Amino acid sequence: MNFPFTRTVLGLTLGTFLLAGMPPIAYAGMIGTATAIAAAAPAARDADLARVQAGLARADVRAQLERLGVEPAAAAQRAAALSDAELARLADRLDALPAGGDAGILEFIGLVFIVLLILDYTGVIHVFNTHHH
Amino acid sequence: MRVVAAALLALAVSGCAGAPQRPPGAPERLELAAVPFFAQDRYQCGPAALATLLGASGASVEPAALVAEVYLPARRGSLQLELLAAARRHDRLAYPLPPDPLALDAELAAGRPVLVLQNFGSTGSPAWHYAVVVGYGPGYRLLRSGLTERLRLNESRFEGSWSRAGRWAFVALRPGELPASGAAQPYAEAASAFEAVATAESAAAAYAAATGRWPSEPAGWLGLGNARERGGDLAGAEAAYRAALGAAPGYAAARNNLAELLSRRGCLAAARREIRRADGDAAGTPLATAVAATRAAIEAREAVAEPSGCPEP
Repeated sequence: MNFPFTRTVLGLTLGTFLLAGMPPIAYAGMIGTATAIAAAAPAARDADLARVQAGLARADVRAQLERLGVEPAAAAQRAAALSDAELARLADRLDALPAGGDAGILEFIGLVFIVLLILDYTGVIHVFNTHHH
Repeated sequence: MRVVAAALLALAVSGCAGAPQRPPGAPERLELAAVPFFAQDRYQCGPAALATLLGASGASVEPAALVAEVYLPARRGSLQLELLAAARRHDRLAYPLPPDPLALDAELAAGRPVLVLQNFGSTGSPAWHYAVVVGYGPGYRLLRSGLTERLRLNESRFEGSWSRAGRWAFVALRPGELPASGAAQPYAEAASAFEAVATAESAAAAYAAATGRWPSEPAGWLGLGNARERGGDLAGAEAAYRAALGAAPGYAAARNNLAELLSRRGCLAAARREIRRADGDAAGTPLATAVAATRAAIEAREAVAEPSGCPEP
């Protein structure tokens, strides 16, 4: 599924509702604890709108998890275990946030190797004897 | 005289640097020897550290079982927020600690190991790693880390690696257990994230603990009410909402939910009284739309003969 496209469509639909001055969805009944806590935050937006946004963020995180190699069923469960606030922090940022796993050192060694290879190839240094100028 | 004062000051400063401050009442040396150890597989310090933390809190789970919950193949690692989420899925409330060594020591002194993120690279070229702190002594810390069951790390080396990772740390709390140090607001946020995946019983236990320690904070009472409602204890839920309103009479979320429960059990007059007031309290706040919707639904209900036991005005 092309998620950015889906999100654009959903965003436009949502925006149209807002421009028309209508609340997108009205949830009657019980107010959840997380909703009430988020609503008490200084820069909080309308709680119903926030729920719709959280739904979008959850779908976004789920799609990103799948793209990073997680099985679809597991990705759905993992996205479901994140809070709205956590989803907002993760959406669009899964590539940039720290992923603990000792990968850094190996990536660093890989990067040094590539730099050496380029420098060697361009004739700045000579460390590999696979080619000769 | 000035020379003596300067020398004393220098001594005091170096004394501070040499022996880090411990929380009041904490012992000089401490080791939680019973904390289990799981040697990590390649890149999988996240699942190993999480299994260590959960095992210590009585939730026995193998690292291999956690891989599907926290490991990101393309990143060859695990995200911090996913570790929190996975702890919650195993019936533990994940409580992130403030970025302060004293908070870390306070948890250790309370018998709880702490999962930390470390950065053994530089800020520009990070090498992220998760480990579990299980003790400390003068100038060192003890960790379950990677392939080492009892890693003794120089205090300054630990502090450097931890501060380059934003001093991120969290503990896994059993439902009803409170952090050694902590505040009402972050606990309520952690508990509400836990509530979303926890059983009604576990969620109620977590909030009940909060209302015990911070009775004047309404969010804990609201959470307790919502958890009880989910578990079918409607009278208990009503009592919790009333306690929330006792602490904060203008708390529209609690009054909205109280009105909804009154309406469901047929006490329509009382429900309307409460929802009208909640509607006024919510005006201009992010809850305005939600409370107005509840009010519309309650106002639209047909009045029936009221059962006994409805609240009087």
